[in-house]
Amino acid sequence: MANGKRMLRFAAIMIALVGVLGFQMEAMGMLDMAEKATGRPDVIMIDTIAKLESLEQSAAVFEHDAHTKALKEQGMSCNSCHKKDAEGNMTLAFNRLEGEGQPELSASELKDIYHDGCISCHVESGDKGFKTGPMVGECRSCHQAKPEIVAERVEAGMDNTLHFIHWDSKIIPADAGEQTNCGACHTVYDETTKKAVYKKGEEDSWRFATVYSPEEMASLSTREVFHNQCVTCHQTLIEKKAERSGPVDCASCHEAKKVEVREAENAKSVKAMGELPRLPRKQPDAVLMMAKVEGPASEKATGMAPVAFNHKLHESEVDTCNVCHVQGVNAPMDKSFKAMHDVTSDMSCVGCHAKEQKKPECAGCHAARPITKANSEATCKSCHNAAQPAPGATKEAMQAEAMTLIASRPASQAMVAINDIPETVTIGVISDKFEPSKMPHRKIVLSMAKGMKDSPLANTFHATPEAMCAGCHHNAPASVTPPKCASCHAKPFETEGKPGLKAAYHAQCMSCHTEMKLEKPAATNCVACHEKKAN
Amino acid sequence: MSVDTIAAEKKSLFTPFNIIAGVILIAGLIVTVMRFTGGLGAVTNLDQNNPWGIWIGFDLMCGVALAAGGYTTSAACYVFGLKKFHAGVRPAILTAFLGYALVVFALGYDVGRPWRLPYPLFVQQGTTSLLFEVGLCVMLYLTVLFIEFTPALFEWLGMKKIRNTVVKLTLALTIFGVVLSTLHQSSLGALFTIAPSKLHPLWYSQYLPVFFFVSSICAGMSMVIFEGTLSHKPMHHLMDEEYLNNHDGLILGFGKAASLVLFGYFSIKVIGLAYDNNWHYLTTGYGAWYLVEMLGCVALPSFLYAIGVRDRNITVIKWAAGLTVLGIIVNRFNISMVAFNYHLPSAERYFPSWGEITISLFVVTIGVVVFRFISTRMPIFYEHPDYKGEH
Amino acid sequence: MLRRTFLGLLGAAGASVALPTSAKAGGKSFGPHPDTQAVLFDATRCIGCRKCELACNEVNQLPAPDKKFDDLTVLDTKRRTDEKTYTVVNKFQGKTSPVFVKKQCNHCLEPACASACFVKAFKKEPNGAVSYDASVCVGCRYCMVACPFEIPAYEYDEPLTPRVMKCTLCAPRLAEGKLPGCVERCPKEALTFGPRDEIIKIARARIAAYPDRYVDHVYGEREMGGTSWMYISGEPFSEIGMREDLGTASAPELTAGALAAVPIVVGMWPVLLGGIYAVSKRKDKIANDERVAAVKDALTRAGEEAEKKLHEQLSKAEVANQRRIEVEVKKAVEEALAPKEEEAETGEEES
Repeated sequence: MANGKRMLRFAAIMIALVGVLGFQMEAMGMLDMAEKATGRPDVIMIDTIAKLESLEQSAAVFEHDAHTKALKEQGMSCNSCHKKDAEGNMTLAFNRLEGEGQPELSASELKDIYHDGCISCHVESGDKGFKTGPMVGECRSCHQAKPEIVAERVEAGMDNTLHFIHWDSKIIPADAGEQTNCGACHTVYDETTKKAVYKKGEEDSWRFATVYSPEEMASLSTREVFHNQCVTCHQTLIEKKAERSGPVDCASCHEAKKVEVREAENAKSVKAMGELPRLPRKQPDAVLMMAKVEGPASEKATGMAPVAFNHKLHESEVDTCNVCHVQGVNAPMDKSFKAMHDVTSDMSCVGCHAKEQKKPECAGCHAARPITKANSEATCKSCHNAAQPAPGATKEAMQAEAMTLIASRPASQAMVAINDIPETVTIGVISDKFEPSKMPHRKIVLSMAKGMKDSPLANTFHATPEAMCAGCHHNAPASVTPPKCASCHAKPFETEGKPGLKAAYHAQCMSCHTEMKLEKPAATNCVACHEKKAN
Repeated sequence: MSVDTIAAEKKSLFTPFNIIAGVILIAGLIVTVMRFTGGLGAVTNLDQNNPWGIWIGFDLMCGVALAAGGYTTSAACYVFGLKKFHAGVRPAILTAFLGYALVVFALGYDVGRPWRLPYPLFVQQGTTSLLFEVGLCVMLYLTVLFIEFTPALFEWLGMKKIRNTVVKLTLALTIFGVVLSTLHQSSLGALFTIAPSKLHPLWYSQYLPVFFFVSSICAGMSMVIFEGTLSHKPMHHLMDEEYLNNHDGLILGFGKAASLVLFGYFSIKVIGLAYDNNWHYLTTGYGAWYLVEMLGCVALPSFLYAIGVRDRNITVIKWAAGLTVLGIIVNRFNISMVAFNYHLPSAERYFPSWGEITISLFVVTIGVVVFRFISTRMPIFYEHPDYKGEH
Repeated sequence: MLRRTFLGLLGAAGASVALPTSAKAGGKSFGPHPDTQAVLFDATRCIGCRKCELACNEVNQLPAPDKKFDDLTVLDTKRRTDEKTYTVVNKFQGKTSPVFVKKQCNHCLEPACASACFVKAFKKEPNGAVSYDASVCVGCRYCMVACPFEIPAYEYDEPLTPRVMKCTLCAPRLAEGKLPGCVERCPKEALTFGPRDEIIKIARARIAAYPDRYVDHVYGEREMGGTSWMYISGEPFSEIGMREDLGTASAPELTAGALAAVPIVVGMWPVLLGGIYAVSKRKDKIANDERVAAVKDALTRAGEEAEKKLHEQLSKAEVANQRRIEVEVKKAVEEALAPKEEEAETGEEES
């Protein structure tokens, strides 16, 4: 029996060891899996029942594009899953009609719709010999707790180019008595008539004005609104065998790569046209932007000088109107100081201009300017330089004034006379281990000017010829004979922000080269700028 | 006695043990010369990222932990009054004394300027340093151990009066020895608390001093059993009746205590894991090694000790003791070399060089040889006839 | 006599180790020396030219390196400080362009090396530098274990006079009013030298002036209790070889707990052990007394029992004796009476 005890002991130890090792391996295996999840744009997590009760199983993973493709191969269409409504438009719910006039479905009824619909199709396809999805009993194949494939989508939306493709298209019929076809999409729900009407001149993005009533909107998401309008229309056109139609698969709008390809192609077409034709919505060419002041209008013209804003130019500089008209083109714009001047925002004037200054042609000088200079007292006048309008002036009058001011702005960069730009500058004040540096001054200035040539932003804001000089000859009044660097830069560490002379020279040149992405001269290649002294 | 038996008794110097020991000693002397003419770089694999190798990890840390038998045995006998451990005190004290003396000897190799080792005590005291505490307590404890060892020496030299005076100090020295041992055993662990970013989370804890102290108790008791087993056969002819009669009792007694303390150590290690919420590390490679150390070298010997004590099975207890000693070595190696610098890529990790291994073997061999010298001449395993019954 | 010696030894041992100088006293905290200088390294300015390494080598008269300082191919491998190199520049891949980071002793406010050194060879000087005194160093290399930034290097190839080598913040130059060698030589002023609180303000001002350029963090402001060498960068610090998991507790704080326990052990252990000894001795004594008492008790009881038995036997014997006497008397009487009866009978016959 003593032997038996020993064997029992040994067995217990072995079981413990195996248990520990097994747990170990499983745990390590689990760790690996979580990191491998790949992303696709067409993944839909089906959790319809979640709105009604708490889920027993995890949401089911559904790859829409894979199914569209598979159905196409079998000669089937969207109709296999998507019913048509009374108007003959495709609905987007699976195998059912929802909304007004339709019975409310219970959780178990919904479950049955999905299970019966999906699995029966899988069975049929399988019988026909096609590669098919999970069947009865393979619950976890769909209801995955930790899915290996997850949704990875870029946000889709209408930009000016896409919009042009639509409003220029003959396939979308023009409205009655009009040259334009805006009404085909831009009908809006009218409270008084309780119907969807087209109001010409008030068209706005579906993000802000939809064809649905407020009650319907309460239960719809932006996604559903866009899908219901875009995808169903595209599908109808495809069924009607129109000349061209938009995509109905997920990836064409939501996959980063495909979107990039499409945008590149569109950009090529636009370039071939010269520029994108302007949207015919009677936008102003110029606007006189005034600071919003509370209280009754004053009798005298007082306050901050208005800004003459070139609306026409800016239309072609942005991708969509929403960039500035954040609440839609019909809503009044946010006129707060922050909305116009926030240097970190993409939608404010100052912020967008600051973003432009990050381009390599501009960043050489502009990256060195501290952020406080964007909104400093000196820079207000560069925009706020229009005359105060007469009290009671009409909108048209103000627009005309703005137009005049805009027209008077320079079309090209004001330049200092060539002979006034030194050809070379010899920097030898602190020459010690190296020979004085011979800087090709004129060449540099002219190449900077070349970079500014086509930029209306630069032309407008570099108001005087000497303004460009101030990029390097900074922190002093702009002049054709700026002070020597050594006038201000001497010993290091006396004032923060004002380096010693050696660092001032090196940092000024090297940082500009880095920001402008110039590979030559390399910062570490000392002799490229100054030869080593012989001794 | 006939001529033959006399001749047979006069053993040759070239026994297998002596030959091996001799080779190691000669190799050690050669490496010593290399160390002091070429510097540490010529002999060790230490580098700027790994300043401590097996001379610290094994010779210092394992040496100190395994020499803990001195204070545990003498505390059991004199403080707790368990007379059956009495015969084991002298061998334990001798092992401990030689152990600590060799720790200091090995430090002479590792430290850059060994002649400056007294500086922290006498020139400039760095009292913010736990290493200062280790050094001070090791120095003091070495003195205590030496004094506790001298009665055997005096008995051999026949110096009765001074021997009797020293024996009267036993209780005080024992208590002082336990205090000093607690301090330096825990401080050796506390050394690594200063570098949490370099020690793997499974081994790093603010409780490191407590872990080291408790594990030193187990180490000491297991080492007494282990060393007693190793010396039983070669020294059998020297062992007196008291020693032989109490040998098994001592082993059973220490086995019982070791089982309990090992279990306690395992528990506080688990509590340490929970306190820092480090469970997820158990599923990594380091975690697997940690489990081997904890389950194989702490939990398993605790269990085996308990079985051995219950069944009064001396063999099982001896195996458990060997496993515990191995576990202590693995633990100290892990903290000083394996889990230390775990964040560095494997190309920058440390592995001992032949020179370092030679010196470590050299030190251990010196210990064994000196132990043999002393215990075959002085009353360690037996009571001197003049002083029988006077303890 | 023995007891007093023991107590004296204990007191000396306790006193000599109960002196933690930098443990946090209850509720009180202290800051760096008011004259502490610091250096700010701006990773967005460094171009990786290695002039700082060259300057350090010249100023400290260090031996010439294997590859010259204008050889920029060394930047392709990650280097660390060693016994001939107090500072190195390493190259990292940034989002759009390479980033260069200079690495050297950070001259912590509460240095791990100074806390770890058991001969006080490291000292935090009032001017901020952490200085090293080679005249007391034993060469134990605990400072190398303790330093979280992996800076101190050791002269492993020196057999008899090995030293720990690290940046000195050019203390001799500072004493002459000059700048540290690397700071002076940098052509981009990537290194800024000044009082520590000014340096922090400068770092914060730079980050505020160019928020797109910098990560909003001054490395070294609080890491490991604060350092005198701080860093600002355009890339996350963990991607330029700087550990962000070191925490803000200084190294001395980490060991203060263990050190604080020492006097308690010294004070309480003798009490505990002495107590255990006393208790075990008392237990033995009581066990002994009980044994003696039990023996005595047994003896007295045995004696009493014996007496009782004797008494019984004696009285029994008495009684037996009495009886025998009575029996004998009775017999004698009967015998005496018997011949008279015979005479009477024979008498009747005769007459």
